[in-house]
Amino acid sequence: MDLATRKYRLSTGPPRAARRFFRWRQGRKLTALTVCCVLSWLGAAAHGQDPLVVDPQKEYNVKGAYLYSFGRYATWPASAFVGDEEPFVIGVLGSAPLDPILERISTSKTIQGRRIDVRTYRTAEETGICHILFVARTVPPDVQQAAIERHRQSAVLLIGETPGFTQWGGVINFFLEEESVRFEINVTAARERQISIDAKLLRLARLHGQE
Amino acid sequence: MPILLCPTAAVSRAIKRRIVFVRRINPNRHWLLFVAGVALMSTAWSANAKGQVVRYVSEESYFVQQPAPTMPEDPETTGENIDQLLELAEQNVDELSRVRVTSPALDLVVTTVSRQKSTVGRTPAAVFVITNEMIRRSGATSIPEVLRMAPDVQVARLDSNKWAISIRGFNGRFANKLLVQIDGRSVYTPLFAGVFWDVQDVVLEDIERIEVIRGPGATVWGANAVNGVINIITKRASETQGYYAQVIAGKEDRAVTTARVGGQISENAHYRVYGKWFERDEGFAPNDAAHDDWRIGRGGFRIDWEPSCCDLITYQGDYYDGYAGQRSLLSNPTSPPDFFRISDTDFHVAGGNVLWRWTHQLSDDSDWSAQAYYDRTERALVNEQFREDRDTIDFDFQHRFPLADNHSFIWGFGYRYTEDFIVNQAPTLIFTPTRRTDDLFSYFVQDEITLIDELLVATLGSKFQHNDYTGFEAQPTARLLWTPSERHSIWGAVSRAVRTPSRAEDDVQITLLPSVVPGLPPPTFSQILGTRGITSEVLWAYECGVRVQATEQFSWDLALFFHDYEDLSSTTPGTPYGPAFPPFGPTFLPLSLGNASAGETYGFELGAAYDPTPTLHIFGTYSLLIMDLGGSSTEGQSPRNQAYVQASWDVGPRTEFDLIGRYVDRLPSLGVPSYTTMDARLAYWVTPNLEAAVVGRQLLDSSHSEFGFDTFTGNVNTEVQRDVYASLIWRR
Repeated sequence: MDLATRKYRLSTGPPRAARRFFRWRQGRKLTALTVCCVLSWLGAAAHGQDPLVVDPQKEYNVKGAYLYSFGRYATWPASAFVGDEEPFVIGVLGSAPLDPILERISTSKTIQGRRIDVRTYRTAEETGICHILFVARTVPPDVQQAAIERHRQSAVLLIGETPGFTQWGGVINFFLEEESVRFEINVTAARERQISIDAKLLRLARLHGQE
Repeated sequence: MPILLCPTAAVSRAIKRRIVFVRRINPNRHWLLFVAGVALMSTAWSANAKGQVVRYVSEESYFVQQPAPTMPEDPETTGENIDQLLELAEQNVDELSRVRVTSPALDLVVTTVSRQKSTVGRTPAAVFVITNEMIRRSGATSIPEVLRMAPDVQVARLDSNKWAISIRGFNGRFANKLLVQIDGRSVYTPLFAGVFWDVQDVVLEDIERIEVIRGPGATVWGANAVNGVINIITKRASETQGYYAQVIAGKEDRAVTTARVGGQISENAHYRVYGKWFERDEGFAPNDAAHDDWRIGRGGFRIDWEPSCCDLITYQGDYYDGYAGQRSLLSNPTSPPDFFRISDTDFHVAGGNVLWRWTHQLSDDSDWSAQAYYDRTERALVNEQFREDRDTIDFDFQHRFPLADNHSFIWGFGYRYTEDFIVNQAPTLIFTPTRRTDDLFSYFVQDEITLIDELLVATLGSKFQHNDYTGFEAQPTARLLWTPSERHSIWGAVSRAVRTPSRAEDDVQITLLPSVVPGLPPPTFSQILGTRGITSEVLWAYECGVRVQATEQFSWDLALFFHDYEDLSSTTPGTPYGPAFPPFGPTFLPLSLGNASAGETYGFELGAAYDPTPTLHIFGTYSLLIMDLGGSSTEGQSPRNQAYVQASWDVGPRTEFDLIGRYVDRLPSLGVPSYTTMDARLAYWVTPNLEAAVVGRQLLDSSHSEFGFDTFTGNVNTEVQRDVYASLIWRR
């Protein structure tokens, strides 16, 4: 066979293949069809069930890393620190598996040249002076609102992870989207607290409040 | 429409609390089951099945509701990963918002199918990914042995250094419908379009993953990716820093020693250097007929340099040299009365390669990469004449970019030059001419179209190539992926692939061993003759499949296929010629290669993974393969049923136990019976840096045959023997 006759023989393919497929023994074809139908049904039936499971450890590691970067990319008024030696305080209200990452942050990192102190609180009344206050979603909504109220006038970056947290007056709120941790920022609340947030973060966030 | 994924604490607690079905088995009635199953499973569960009894089903079985298991320390999410996250928080907050916080399972990365990174769950093809951890826990010591765990991959050992490996059938020593790549370098030889498995090796520890694609991958990878693609991907140099040393001593794996050092050249350039040497024992053959011992030394390096955020330049190379033994029966038409002789000899194999690759990220969804490599292989029979040297130069470029909103376009081109030099083994194996150079030009286009956001994706593409054997070839594909939810995907594909002729099919003359052919004076020597003008084998493949992550602990996938082959390679008997002094031989019967055969194969592949407890991981595969080639003997060379089960159990914080069971169906046309076998591995971490392991392989019989006599080369097969080895691994 010479090169001329070895031409591109695409056209001989599909019709012959299709003919042969449909001549396939009836029994086998039916079996194959049934299997396909069952599979489609399984897929369809499963649709809508099974909420996608988020790995809590991964989720909170990322949230912990965010807390650290918020500390780096936000600026507090000078009045928020009493002296040069005073630590940068990250407070956590409620229980969340943040210990591994916060421990690493407090032992190996600094924020704005200050060592980092991590404090955990169980009630809104317990919460003292801190620069970042993370409110876990396990905290009941009324307690969350009480905590926000308690720190309404002070330069505390209130960070939550409950829908509605920014509407109550919180500054930053985490949510999950497309399998990743995202956040929204209430710009008004930040300005009221005299905390300025770097454009780098604002660009990443979903914004609320008045510019 | 983005979905808010905010499971409340109660939901995640409910998911973690699992219900386990425990069945007590009467040891007298089911002693066999008892030994095999209970020994592993119930011991594993007994530690966990102490929960409250929820519901009795019968005397022998009941449900136990377990307390939520404490999650084991996952090295990925604690420790190292925390540092990575903090690094991101410092340098690149944008990346932090892209870190996935969901559990993986369907999220293993695959690049083979479309040449762009995608996850298994979102790949419209039958993909199986063998991870580094699966390799480590399998106890396998060579690449072919590792491939046994992938569904519908036929792996049969001919002797200690030769394997017949194929996907979806057509298996044989010279199986030719498979593309195998190591780090983007094609390792199949254009000599016969198959792979010399005896020289394919890497440091198994350095493998990141092996992607096994069943079905055509021809659209992006080109000819030979007909029945499947095997893509071996090693880790980046930055991921293999520090020291690694392994020593294996055993009955069959006599000695395997590996050492690797990784370090930093500058802040963004890393390297690794490795050396490996092994000696493997002969297989079993009666009457001391095994001469297939095998020893190879190899060394290599890899440098990864990231001069900027968006560039990665890789430079890597390997060199090997060694001996692989064999016993062959060579036909000898001029020496009566046997007309053949026995040749016990070694193949001296040597080779090396250097590869350079530059990947440049233009934006999130756009990049290009250029790659070039040079590869040399040498293979010579000691004490015989045959020799084959080959040089290959390959250049490859690809570019991915978004086109409009919902199109991801990828195109590329490549050029390959290969040159060989053969010394003939007259009168058995003759190539005419003995020197040949071939050029291969190829280019491909592929468009991934998002029809409905996060629901329906179509992939259309084609590869075009021009080769020196058949001229122009086109290999189009159309694929559809439907992802009804994050945990389900259903896909279908229609593709055309061609297997272009190899050097052998054009130029070879093989004189087979003498036989008796009715009507011809004995002995008759069949002669396989290559044919100039032979055309490509053509496959039209129709596939569909489904993948389901049913629960956090259980996932399964299924692929169905119908392969329709045309112009399959065949032989046509010519006019016999010969006997100088009739009626006595020798007579020669020419068998010319042609494309007269056609046929179809169909079947399905099922895989499932199940983690009943956080410390026990079970996965298994089953494949059914039916070949209908009109009665050709090729039909009976691939097992119809294959099954594989692996259970990996973390007995304690320092102890690992793995059990593998395998079933391979009989090979009727080779007279090889079916076999069931079992491997086991017990490892103990003496210190966090030192892993000691004892591995037993092929434990159920002292030896078994996996394939039949190879008529083309006359190689005498040996049987695979029971093997026990001890291994020490030191990492720092």
